[in-house]
Amino acid sequence: MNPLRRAVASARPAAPSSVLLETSALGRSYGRLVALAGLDLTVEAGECVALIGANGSGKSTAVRTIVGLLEPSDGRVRVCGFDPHREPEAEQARAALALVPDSPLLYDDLTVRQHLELVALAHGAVDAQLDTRITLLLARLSLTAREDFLPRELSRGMRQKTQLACALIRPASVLVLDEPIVGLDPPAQALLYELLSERKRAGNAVLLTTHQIAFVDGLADRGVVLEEGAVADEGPWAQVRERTQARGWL
Amino acid sequence: MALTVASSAGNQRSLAAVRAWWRVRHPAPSLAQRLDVLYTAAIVIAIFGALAYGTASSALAQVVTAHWLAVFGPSLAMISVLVTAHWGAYQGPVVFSVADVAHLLGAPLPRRGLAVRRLVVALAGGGVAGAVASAVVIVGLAGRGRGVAADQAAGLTVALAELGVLAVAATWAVQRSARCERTVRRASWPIVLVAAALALASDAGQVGRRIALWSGPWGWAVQSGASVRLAERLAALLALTLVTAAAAAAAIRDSGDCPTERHLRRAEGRASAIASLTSLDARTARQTIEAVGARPSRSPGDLSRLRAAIASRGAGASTRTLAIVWRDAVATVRMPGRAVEAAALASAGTVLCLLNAKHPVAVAAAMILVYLGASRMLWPLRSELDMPSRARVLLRPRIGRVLLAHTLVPVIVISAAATLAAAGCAIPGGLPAHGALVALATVAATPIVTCCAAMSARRGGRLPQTLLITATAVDPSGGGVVTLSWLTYWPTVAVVLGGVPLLLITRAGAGTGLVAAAWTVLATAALAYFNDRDHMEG
Repeated sequence: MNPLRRAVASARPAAPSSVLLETSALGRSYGRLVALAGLDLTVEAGECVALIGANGSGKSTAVRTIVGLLEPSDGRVRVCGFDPHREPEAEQARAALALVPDSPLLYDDLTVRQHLELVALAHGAVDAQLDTRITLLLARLSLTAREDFLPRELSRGMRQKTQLACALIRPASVLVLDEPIVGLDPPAQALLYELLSERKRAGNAVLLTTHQIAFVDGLADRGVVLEEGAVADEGPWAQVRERTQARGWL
Repeated sequence: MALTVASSAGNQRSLAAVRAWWRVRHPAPSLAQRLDVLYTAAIVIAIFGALAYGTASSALAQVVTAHWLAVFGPSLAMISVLVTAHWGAYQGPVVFSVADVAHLLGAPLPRRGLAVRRLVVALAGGGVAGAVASAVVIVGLAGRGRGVAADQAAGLTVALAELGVLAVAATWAVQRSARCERTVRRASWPIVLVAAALALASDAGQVGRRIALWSGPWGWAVQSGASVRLAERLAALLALTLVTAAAAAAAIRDSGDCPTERHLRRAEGRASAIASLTSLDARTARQTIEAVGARPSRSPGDLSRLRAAIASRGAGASTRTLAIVWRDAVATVRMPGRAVEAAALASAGTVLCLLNAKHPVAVAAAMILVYLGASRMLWPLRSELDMPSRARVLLRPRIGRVLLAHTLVPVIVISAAATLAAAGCAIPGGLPAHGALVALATVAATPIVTCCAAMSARRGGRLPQTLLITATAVDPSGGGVVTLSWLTYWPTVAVVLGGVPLLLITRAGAGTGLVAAAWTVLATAALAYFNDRDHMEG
């Protein structure tokens, strides 16, 4: 077996109960504004956690801090046991993480297929079947006809799908999605639901933020409600959903 | 639970694979293309080089001498390093695109491997910039038939190239570390004061000059061109080489040590700035870049007493004007650094004007300094103009009156700074002939210059489309002359309207004081009238 493949494959969880993502007392401030305070969160292998909250509640800040795009003001993050904010161990955290940001971040001069090639190369996920895997993934996301298109030639939804494909082409153990259904039509939302369910069944941890609580019904195992940057409620998804609707938070 | 994932060696191989893939997708220019660029550059230099050299040589030779370099060289070098280091707070030598941050910095690739090439290229660029600066200095030193010894020229070239490398290394430190960024910000004005003190000390005598030349890398770098003994020059060059090598080595060693957040902010800032420049919106581009290095906002400076005093006056027209004054005062309190910079520029302009009141070029330069200071204070006006709908929704008076009211706080700050600077010149007896009258005229010119800056501000940050059409259709230079004229129009008006009364008094005597006063009053009234009009000039 290719050593790179072997190394990446070993990032997958050994047991379904293992905690793949953990934050403790995670906080982030922008000057005087406290955007996130004391977030304690765990996501286990094969589990999906939905992070919900109103605009400005700190969801995106939490996601960006967890994946290493923002530096935490307090607390710590562990992804598969590694700190994504401290080099060189952050390399290992990044190997286990895949992010789908709220707006697509793509190269202007790379086609859809080239994006997937680059991401696979950068994550060491290269083997003889790479072309086949890319072709299959593009077909599944209805991107085959657009695989040689540049981002500027794509609609918002197609760009979002490309970003999603970039996250799925690599063998990540932890999938973090920030408002993933924005810009997606209902069939694409259903496909995303299916893809995330598959990743859950494969033992990956999924953390996603959304305003559409109906989307995560049946997908999320637990829910965390953020309000003013702090955890206002958490628990099994069905209960959190019920309380959230009863209190009119969303 | 800690899992073993891709090894470091594997990540290095991934990086090599990404580089190889990228080279195939983005092939480097061929040898023929590179030779074509070199050929074009050589032709351009051959055609314009001789002309430019003659002009530059005669102009620089009047200013740049060995004595001038010994007196001002260390200070200028120090300020240059400071300004370069400041660039790290906004962009810096290692800048990625937003997509790079998402796909490359988000991958398990070694950060050092991703950043080190960009950093090395930037360090080399700093060296080239330093060598170019040394060429300019050497042209000046050698002008008027003075000539420069080969060893001196070589020493100066090497030293300034090394200083360029050192400056880029400092810029990287500022870019990658919030602590370094804060330190440089806090040290900026003290460093400017130290630079001024070094220049004064160097001008005072031999001892001060030696202190300045040995005060640090900025002094060591200019020794080769400053008539210093060979042994001292070599010692200074050796010290500079050691410091530069250590700084460059430290920068390269830490090239992977920059948080993703700092890369992301710079990438987003650059992308937004490029988008703004594409639509010729220089103001938004500048604001975007400034936002990258923005400091957290201070505690609310709401000036509640002033607000209460204004509110107690009722709902008359004067209250509405005072509300705008309050809004500008709050902006000034929230960003005191901007007010300090504006005051410093206005003070420097006033001092320059009073000490060289007979020289038209110096007076013009002084007016430009005051203009720049006023422009710093007019930020709330610019922000209002960038979103005129906001001004119209929130403020009831007509837009011309709003814009005129926005000049009040800047006029007060700039005039106060000019008054203090004039007093500072008067106390040690530094005023020129007809000193009181000249000082009065200088202070009286500040509202004129501020109003000109306000008129320029109300044109907006984007070049108007009508101007671009005119520039491309009519201008034989391809639009350059029309665009340049548009950009320099109000600064030129400020120089003329503000400078003429001063030159009248200093050249034609105190008897022209009445004419100068009438000129000042009429110019101020006319500019206030134009500022008060509702028409938004294109």
